[in-house]
Amino acid sequence: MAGQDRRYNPRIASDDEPLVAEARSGDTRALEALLRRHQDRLFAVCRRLTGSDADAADALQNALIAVVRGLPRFDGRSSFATWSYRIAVNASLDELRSRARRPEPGALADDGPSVADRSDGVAARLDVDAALLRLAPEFRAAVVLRDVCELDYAEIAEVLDVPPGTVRSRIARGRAALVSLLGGRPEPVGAP
Amino acid sequence: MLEPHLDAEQLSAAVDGDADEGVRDHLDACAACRRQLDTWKETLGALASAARADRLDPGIAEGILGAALAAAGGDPPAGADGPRPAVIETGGDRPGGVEAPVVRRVTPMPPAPERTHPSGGSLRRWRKPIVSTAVGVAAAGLIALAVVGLRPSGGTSSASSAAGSVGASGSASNSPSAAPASGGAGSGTAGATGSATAGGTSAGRATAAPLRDLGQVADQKALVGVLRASLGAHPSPASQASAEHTGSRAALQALPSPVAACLAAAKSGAGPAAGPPREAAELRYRGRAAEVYVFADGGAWRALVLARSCAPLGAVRF
Repeated sequence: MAGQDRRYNPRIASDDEPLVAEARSGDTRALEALLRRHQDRLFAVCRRLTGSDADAADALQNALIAVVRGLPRFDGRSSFATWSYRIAVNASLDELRSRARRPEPGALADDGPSVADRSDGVAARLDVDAALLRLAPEFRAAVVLRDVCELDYAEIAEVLDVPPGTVRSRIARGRAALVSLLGGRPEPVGAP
Repeated sequence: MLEPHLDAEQLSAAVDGDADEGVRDHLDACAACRRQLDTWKETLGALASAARADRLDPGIAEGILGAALAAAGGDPPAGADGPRPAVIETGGDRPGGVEAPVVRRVTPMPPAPERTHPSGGSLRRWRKPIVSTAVGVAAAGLIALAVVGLRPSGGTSSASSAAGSVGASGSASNSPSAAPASGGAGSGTAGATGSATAGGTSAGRATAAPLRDLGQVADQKALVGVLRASLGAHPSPASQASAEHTGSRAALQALPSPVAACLAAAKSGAGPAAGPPREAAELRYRGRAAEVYVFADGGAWRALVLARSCAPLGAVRF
């Protein structure tokens, strides 16, 4: 997908290895460089999963702290990028659960007009956010990891800790539901 | 038109360029499915575009990075007379397994002091009459209901619970998963020494009264302006001395009762010499929900801004 220049490409993971090793040995500057490198893409995941800037910032902070604390246990079996995606997804899901326990007025996704009725880009973005938030979290996470983060199915399976077949099914159903919610045709399969 | 049309998994595979030959042949022959595929691509393109527009405010990004790096430096020391924060790692209840469990900082409660019955016997051996216990529970319940009923709805502290106000010295927990840890040490027992757990999420906060809300505060300069307006330019020598030695009445009055959720973390950050905070308030600092605590620090004020998770966002002395 075009336009991903600003974001770190998780498949170019070999660059991380020296930084990870230095950070694990206590080099704070290496740790900072590592966190700076991944901060934007992790925020993108948190932002899409939580649906709000403030909650995404809270989730990102919790994720980065968990990364820092968990780094000594990081065994390198997966790439640092995949491992940190997993932490960010879990932090976002935690934030969503936390938010569910403290409902706020206006936090619910609206049932307003579909994106087809609007031409404004901001409104369209809000609609995408609202539609995404109406997906069940497991479907939302799968779609975001595929269509925003551009992870392949095997990587998503690793991040979500589910079999690849389940990933395929969740992505397909999540995409279908998203198309339906955004004013496309009725989805071919039942909404999640 | 061909029947049956492509299903979600086939369309999804086509979006990814992984469609098998049968699906490709169907798309060549079926205009309806081609239109459907175009709709899917358009929708997912809109999602990617929306994600590319995401920008983390540089100030917030620095604050978050600072908090994470602070976590790498170890926990700040607790007050000399206070319990030392301990890191308790929990896997939580999340689905799918967790490689790196959420880390929650919990300040363990000190053991409750031994209480004695007026007759001189230990309360461990003394049992209250059932009737008086029931009356006490009912009274506490009525007070809690009254507090909940009087709180304005929709406030920023709407998730707070009145339950924490029952304890004599107040007990504040902002981490549901941390509750068993502190509860095991006697949390909520009348007469127990107050404690506040720090870290974790903001849900389940036990702040009985909403903190004063300072609203949006853009940056450190604005924060100093707001705090100076309410506290004055400097702490008065009298109140400073009083706060240091006994905890002045003014200082205690400055705080909502019971204390706010992140107080323990704030006191830990302010250092062992810090007295009670002279101000505790909610705000949105650089766009983030936060709490600010202000301590008298020599002849100046020291303000600590903490996120909902009680992680430090910034500090300023003025």
